[in-house]
Amino acid sequence: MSTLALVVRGLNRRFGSREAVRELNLSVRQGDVYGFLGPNGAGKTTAMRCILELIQRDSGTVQIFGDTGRAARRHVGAIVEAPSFHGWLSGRANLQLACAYAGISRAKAGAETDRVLERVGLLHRGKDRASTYSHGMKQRLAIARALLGPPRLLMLDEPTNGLDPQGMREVRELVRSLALHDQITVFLSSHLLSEVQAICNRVGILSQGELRVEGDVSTLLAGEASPTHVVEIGTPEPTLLEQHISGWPEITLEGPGREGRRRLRVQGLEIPQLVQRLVEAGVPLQSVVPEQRNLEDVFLEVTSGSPR
Amino acid sequence: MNGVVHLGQLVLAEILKLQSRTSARAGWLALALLGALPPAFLAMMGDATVTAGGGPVQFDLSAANGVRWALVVRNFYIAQTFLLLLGAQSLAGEYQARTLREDLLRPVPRWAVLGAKWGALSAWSGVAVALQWVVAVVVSVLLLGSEGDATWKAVFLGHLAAWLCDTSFAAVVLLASAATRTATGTIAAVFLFVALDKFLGWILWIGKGIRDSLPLDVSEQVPAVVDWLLVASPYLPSRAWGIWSEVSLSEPPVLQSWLSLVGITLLAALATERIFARTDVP
Repeated sequence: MSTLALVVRGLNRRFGSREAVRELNLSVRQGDVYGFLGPNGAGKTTAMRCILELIQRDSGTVQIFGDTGRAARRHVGAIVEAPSFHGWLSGRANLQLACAYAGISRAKAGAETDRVLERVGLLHRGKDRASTYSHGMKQRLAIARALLGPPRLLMLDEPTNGLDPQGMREVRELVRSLALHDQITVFLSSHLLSEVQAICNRVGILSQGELRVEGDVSTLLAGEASPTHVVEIGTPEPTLLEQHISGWPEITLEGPGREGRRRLRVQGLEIPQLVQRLVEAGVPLQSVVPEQRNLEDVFLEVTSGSPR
Repeated sequence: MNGVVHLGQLVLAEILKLQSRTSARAGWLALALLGALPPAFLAMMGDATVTAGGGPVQFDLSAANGVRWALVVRNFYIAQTFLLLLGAQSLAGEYQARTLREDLLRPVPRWAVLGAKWGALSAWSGVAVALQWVVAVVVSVLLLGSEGDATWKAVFLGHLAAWLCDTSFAAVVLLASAATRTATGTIAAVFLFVALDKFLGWILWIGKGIRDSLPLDVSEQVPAVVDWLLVASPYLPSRAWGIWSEVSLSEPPVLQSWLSLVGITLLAALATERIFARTDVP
């Protein structure tokens, strides 16, 4: 059984009459790169702030590598929303201040600062004022700060927000490398589905403050979490196809597909059963092309109906 | 790591951060200059006499009195204005700039963060007092004589008392910072507090004057609670933060003001800790 890096149980947080996070339960295993997904305003950042005790929770428990409270934060390096620095100080001086707060002795702070600056490729700019850094460099400096310690769990809130494609790729590669080579468990909040699909092995999808789905990315993409399939049917008699499916409530015609096919959404029916039913109805089939699901499909299914 | 050692490390980190601020260095420079100007002014006055209390009064032209003058000018809200500015930047300013959040992500108790900031403000004030003392002593010894009523010991102790008063004032600034969470709010709240305190002191002074001038038969009918209130002025923050004046003049200490100084500091620290522990940090 794998060790659990982060366990959240029954987490609630309300702002006035609005429930920002409702009965949140999630588990992140050691070694996971966990994608925490949700539309804007779903409660991702509030949940992260509650986990990191920046804001108080109304109820619920958080365990990080079995520890709670301040002891739990010893295991964590984090970036919450846009990182902030003392702009008049150098990048290195900012990190050395953070060393003091991380409990790293002054004797070790210099070497630790060099280590993290090198890890994010900023060693050559360490002496420059943080205010002179580009947005991408600030993001890397923030990751460097989060890596002080080093942490066992890295919590990143929208780490590629506002970065250009090159910067996004650099951060993505860095996160991937941290998980792979440094064996750091990563908890990554994002609304960039392609990014999450590219680097995460597990995801949790939050909508309106509630965790709607949690599981392995491969499982979710295989459709086990949802009985819905999208399939394109090629037939020389599309009118006949449309006539038949209009009487079958499990099947919805979504519109034209590629190469003249018809695009169908099938609920609660496996594809072989669909084919059998069409054949029995006398619909001649030329091709059946199931659409490969991606995280966006899963996300939209889970969050459909929730306000954006 | 040992908790005490860690707190020391936090204080040192906050001191290094605070001294790197332009406003902190400007404050030191301004207060060092203030160490030179009052003794120089006193030397310029020379044997001039002024009328005070109905008769001519000559200035005490001793070097120790020159240093005391510098202390008096410093405490005419000049050092306190810098402390207010730095305290507001240090807590509320960092709250607004979100840099406080980065510190609180670390495994430190919030009271230690406050303690470190208070320690850094106290250290800044200590350096400011010391700088001003050195400059004032050099200028006074060069320009003024050694004969006079002021004593070096009392003036030195007055500087130490002024530093103690600053640490108490810094605790109140941090309380205002924690309560308002904005730098401008902190400055406004402290100004309001000082103004109310002064107003209350003035009311008590007027009230005591009226009370003392009442005819005996009317005086006897005044409720005891009024008398208790009228003798409360030594407890006011402005009196507590002004104990340096009595100390530097070798006057007997006003126990109520010393008690008040300790009480204000402890109460402010406790209230700040309670507020900050419950503060949601964005």
